[in-house]
Amino acid sequence: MIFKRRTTQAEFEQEVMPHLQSLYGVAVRMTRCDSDAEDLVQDTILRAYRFWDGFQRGTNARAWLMRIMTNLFRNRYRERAREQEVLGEAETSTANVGQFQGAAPRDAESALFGRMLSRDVEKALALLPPEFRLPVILADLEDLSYKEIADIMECPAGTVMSRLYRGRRMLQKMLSDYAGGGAATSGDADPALPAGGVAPAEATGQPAPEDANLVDFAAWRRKRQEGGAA
Amino acid sequence: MTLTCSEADRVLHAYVDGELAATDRAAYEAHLHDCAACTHASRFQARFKAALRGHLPRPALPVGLRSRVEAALGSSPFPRRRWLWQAYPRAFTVAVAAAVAVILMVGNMQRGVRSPVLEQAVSTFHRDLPFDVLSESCAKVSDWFRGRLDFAVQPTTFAGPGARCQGGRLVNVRDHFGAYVVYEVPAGHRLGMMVFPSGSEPLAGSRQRILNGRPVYLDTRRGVSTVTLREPSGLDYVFTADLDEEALANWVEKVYLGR
Repeated sequence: MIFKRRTTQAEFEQEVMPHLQSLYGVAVRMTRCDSDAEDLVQDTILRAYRFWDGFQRGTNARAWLMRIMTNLFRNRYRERAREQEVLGEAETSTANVGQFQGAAPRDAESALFGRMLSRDVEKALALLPPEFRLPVILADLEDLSYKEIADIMECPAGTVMSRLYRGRRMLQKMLSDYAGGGAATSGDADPALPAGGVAPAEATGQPAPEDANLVDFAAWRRKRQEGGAA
Repeated sequence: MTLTCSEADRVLHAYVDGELAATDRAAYEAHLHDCAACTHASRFQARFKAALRGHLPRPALPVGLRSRVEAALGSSPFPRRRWLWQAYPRAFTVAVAAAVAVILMVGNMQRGVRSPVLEQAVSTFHRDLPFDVLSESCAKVSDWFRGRLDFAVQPTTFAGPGARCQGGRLVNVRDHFGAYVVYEVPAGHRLGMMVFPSGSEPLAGSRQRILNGRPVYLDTRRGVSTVTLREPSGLDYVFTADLDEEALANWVEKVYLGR
């Protein structure tokens, strides 16, 4: 049906093309290379076009496109991006985040926010391993929900949250180092917060068992209620 | 029963991301009420999230990428040789006008219009993410947006008892930054106002109404009423509230348009 096909094309353009800048923004921060990002966006759109029938109308087209792009990135660009990674640096920062708690002491906190520079934030984000960088980008810059991110990353929502938790902590650690707020890592964290450190990220990015508790809301609620009844 | 700090800490990020269900959220907030350390921790994380967004704007689309993508689409396996309007410009215009009329009628009669902007306004209202700026002073909220948006969020200051400011956050609407401000309105209802640069598409809503001589559009979806209007300054406003449509339209007429 020619008419149907044309309607589909118009619909595709209307739903997809407005997200180009958003896709490009995520692509640049994932590939860390402008020309790779452009290719990735173009391939994503072409693939989306081919599979437009699979898009569930009324759902979030941006999330659907991000999922396609993430798959492409994973398959094609990741090896290349890894080669460009500043080896060792991300690992080190991952291993050291343990002492950085939910909040920094107030002095370190004002140093962190007061001296936060956009180029440092960009650099710190680029140093995060991709499995932590993506959820931070999608949740904090793209405002997607855990469920949408879980669909994109093909992992449980719990994993999304534990990666976000760790990704943010790594960023906070790096940024407070850049800001010269070394106090934030001196173990002088808020005493009311639990002291459990974060294990170095495994290559698989699977959450450690204690992180799984972190996000199973049903279990969290149940445990809380049992605790109250006892 | 209140939470312990370690229980609260487990859902800290979910809270900051607006992912907690209402009951969990209430339990968490009750804990915050009694615990300065967790309050500090959650403010820190919320502030950090806002700072990331503030420091990492979306990069501009490279010149030529859009046309490159369009060209690639043109030669993609899906045949896409000529647009209908290129082939039959006159017939197309008539057909489009007829189609638009039919869509509008059907839309009005049935399940409301399809509009990504309205959908976004309603989910923003539902998700109720933590604010980037928290203040009861509308002027402060307005000030916070200055420099973060390409436009001034003027009408966040409403005089009188009709609305009390609660806070605001940045939102992305059609790839542009916009402002979302939440007010508490009489009887404890919550009202959201999303402001963003007008796009090319018309205002969305299943019913048109004239308020104070101005056309506005009303709609209700997923339990949230919306009123949409366009300012001559080139900004669109979507008001969302857990009020019924009539009550929201009344509010917009008296408080927003009547200010």
